[in-house]
Amino acid sequence: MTATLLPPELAETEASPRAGADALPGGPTPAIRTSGLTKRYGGLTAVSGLSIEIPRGVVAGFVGPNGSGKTTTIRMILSMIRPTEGSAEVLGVDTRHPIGYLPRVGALIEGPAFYPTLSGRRNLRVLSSLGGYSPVRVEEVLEIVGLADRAGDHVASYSMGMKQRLGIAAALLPKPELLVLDEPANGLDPAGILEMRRLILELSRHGVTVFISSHLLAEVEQIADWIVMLNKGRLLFQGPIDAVLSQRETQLVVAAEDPADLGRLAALLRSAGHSAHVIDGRLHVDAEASFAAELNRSAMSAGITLVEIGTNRATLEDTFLAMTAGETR
Amino acid sequence: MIRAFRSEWHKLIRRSMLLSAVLGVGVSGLATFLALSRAKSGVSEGGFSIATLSLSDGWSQIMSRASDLMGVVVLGIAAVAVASEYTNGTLRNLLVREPRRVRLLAGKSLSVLSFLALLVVAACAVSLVTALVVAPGKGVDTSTWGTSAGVHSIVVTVVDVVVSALAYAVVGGMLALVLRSAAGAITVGFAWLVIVEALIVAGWSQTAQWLPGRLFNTIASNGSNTIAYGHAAVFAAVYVAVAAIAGAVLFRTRDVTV
Repeated sequence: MTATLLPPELAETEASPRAGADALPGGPTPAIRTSGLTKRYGGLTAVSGLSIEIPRGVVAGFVGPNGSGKTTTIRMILSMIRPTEGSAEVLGVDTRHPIGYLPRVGALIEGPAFYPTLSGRRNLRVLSSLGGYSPVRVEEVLEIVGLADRAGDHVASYSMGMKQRLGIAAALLPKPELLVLDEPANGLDPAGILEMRRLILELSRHGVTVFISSHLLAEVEQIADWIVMLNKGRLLFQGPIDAVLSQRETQLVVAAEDPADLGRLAALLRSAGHSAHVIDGRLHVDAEASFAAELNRSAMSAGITLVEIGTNRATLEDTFLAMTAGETR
Repeated sequence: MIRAFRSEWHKLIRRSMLLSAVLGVGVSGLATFLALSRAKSGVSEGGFSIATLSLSDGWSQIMSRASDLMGVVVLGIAAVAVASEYTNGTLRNLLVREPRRVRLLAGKSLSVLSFLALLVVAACAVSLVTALVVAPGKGVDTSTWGTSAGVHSIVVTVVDVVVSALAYAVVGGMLALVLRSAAGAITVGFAWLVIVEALIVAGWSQTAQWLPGRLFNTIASNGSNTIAYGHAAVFAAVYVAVAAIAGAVLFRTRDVTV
C-alpha cells in the first residue's frame, strides 16, 4: 500500500492535528450514535442495548472477541439489518434513512467481497458506476492502495492481502467522511499492516472519522484514540483510549545477581504490604515505576544486588481480558 | 436506477456470463439443426414435416418449440446474476453505494433483462441463419419465409420468444432472491416448470391454462390449440407481476447477513 500517497482530495489541503483526538461526546453531532441498539435472532441476542457515541474525526477502535456482536452492530449502522430495538444515527442521520448518510460513508464489511472473474479495476467500476463516481476516481484509489499495476488482473488471482487492499480502495471511492473498516488487517502481511496503519492515520489527520472493528487489540492500541469494547453483545467500555490505558496496572520486573535472593526480597516486600511473586527467575511486583528506587534501596539494605529493574505495563488485551474475566468464567 | 443499470452491465459482460450466453445461442442453433435434420416428407410424430416447414411460418414453428429450452437457459442466467451477489458477498458493497434497495433491484433487473433480450434475439438470429443454411438440403422451401407473411411471422415469433424468455427470467430472479443460491433457484425452477408441470398436466390437462410454464410457452408459440394467446399473456403477466412484487418486497425488507 502506498501510504505516502495521500488521497488526491486530501493532498490539496493542509493536514490538521487529529481532529477528533480531543473531541468528546456532547460537542458537534457525533459520527456515530446508537441508543439501546439491540438485535435478536430468535432466542439469540447478538447485540444488547448498545448505546455508544463516536466523536467526529477520531480513529475509533471497536474491539471484542469473535462473536461479540461487532459485525452485527456495523451492519445495523450501515442499514443492512434492522435493529430489533433501539436506534442509531450516522453523521447526524437516522439509519432508517440510509440515503442521507451512506453516500458519505466508505465501508469494508466482514472481509473483501468481489466478483472473482472481473479485474480489480472492473470491480471498482461496478461500484463507481453505482455510486456515480468518475473512472478517474477508480484510478486514484487504486494508486492509493498500491494496486495500480495489478488492477487489470482477475480478482481470483489476488492474494488475500491484495483483496483486502482492493476492499479499502472500494471504501475510499466516495471520499468518505466516515470510514468503517471491519477487520481490515486480516490477510495483510506485517508491511501491509504498517502501510494500512499509516493510511488510516493520514486519513484521520484530514478529518476522516475511522471506525475500525478488530479482534486484534494490539493493532487497535497502536492507532485508535477512541475505543469501544464489546463482549457478548454488551458494551464494556467506551471513551478515549487513554482512559483505558491509564487504568492499566504496572508491574516492576526485577532480576537479582543471585536468583536465590529473590525469594527473600519477595518476602520482604510482602511484609511491607506489596504483592510480589517470583516467576521464571524474575520477581514481579505490582507497583508503579516510581517505586523502583525504594525497591532498590530495600534490596541493598538486605544485601541483595539487583542487576535489572524493568516495568511491565498491561496491554489493552490484558485490560480487556481483566474486564471480561468475570463474564467469561 | 440508471446508475444501477449501468453498474450491472460491467458484470454482465464478464467471461462466465458471456460463455453462458454463447451456450444459449449455441443451443438454439443446435436445436434448429436437429429439428430440420429430423424433418420427414410425411407426417412426423414429435417432429416436423417438410411440408409444414415450407410454410411461411416454418421457422417460427421450430423456434417456438425451442423456446422452453431457451426459457430454462435464461432462467438459469437470471438466477446466477442475482444469487451470485449473495454467494460472493458483493450485495453488501452494492447496498452501501445504493441503499435504496428497490431502485437497486429495478436497475439491476432491467439490466439483466435487457442482456437476456439481446441474447434471445441473437439466439433467434443464429437459429434463422442455421435454418436457412440447413433447410434447402432437406428439401424445405424457404422462399416462403421471405414473403411479407413470412417476415411478419418471424418478427412476431422473435418478440413472443423474447417476452416468454423474460417471463422465465423474472421467475428465475425471484427464486434466486428467495433462496439466495443459484443452484437452488435453477433446481427448483427447472423441477417446477419442466417436470412438476408436465406431471400435473398429464393428470389434469385442463390445468395447463393456469400453470406459469405452460403459459410462458404458449406466449412463445403465439397461442395454442387449447390456450388462447390473450389468456396466456394476461395470466403470465399476473404471474410475473406477483413474482416481481414479491421479490421487491422481500429484497427491501430482509436483513442482509451475507
